[in-house]
Amino acid sequence: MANYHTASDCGCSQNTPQCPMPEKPCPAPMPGRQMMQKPCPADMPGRQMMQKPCPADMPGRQMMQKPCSAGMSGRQMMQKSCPADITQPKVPDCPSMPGNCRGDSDPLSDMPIAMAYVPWQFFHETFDVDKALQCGTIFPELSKPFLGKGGCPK
Amino acid sequence: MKGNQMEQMKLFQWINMVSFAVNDIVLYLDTHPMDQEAIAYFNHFREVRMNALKEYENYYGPLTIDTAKPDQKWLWAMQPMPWEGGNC
Repeated sequence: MANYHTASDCGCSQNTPQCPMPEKPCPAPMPGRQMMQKPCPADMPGRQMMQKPCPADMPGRQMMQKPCSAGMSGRQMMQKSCPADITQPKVPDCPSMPGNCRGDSDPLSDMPIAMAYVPWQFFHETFDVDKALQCGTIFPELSKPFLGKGGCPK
Repeated sequence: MKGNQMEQMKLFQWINMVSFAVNDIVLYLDTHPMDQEAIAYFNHFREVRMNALKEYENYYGPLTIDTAKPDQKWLWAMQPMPWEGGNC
């Protein structure tokens, strides 16, 4: 039994298609992870600080839409991308995170983000009481000694 | 350590163990109130714990107020305090 719910009115956006990195900034507010509509003050002088998302503030996939500001003003700035400014989203190398921590080996990769999941626990075997007191739990599956290694779930 | 104290500490440790088991299964039952195996586990160790507490009280005095049964004197207050080596 899974104790998470997927009701359509729960506020999650699991069926909402992601905005596929458009050439131009999305004109309308985008659902899901693009809810931030913070204007970018550096790019837009004066009254044109309207609805454009600020690329520098966007995480991950949305960082490729930074407009070129050199020599441009007004509406031009909003339509052309500057190749020199386009940078790939950079995943920082984390020494404690081995390669198989990322991508397809992540068992949660298909789950919507920003939701918390707690798998349901079933009553199976238990520790002997002396070991339970040492481990801090009567359930072997909950005995998670801190090993200080970091990285992937072990 | 005298033999008597050894026995006392062993019984005290046993009470700690079964008390922890009772405590932990209570947490589980809070979210699984209909789990029959867990209820059986609770009933078993609750009884084991109560028997151990009564046995301790019999030989060494009450560990908790639940097993303090005053006859002639209020033994609860006359035992050594924890900082004096007492366990309650």
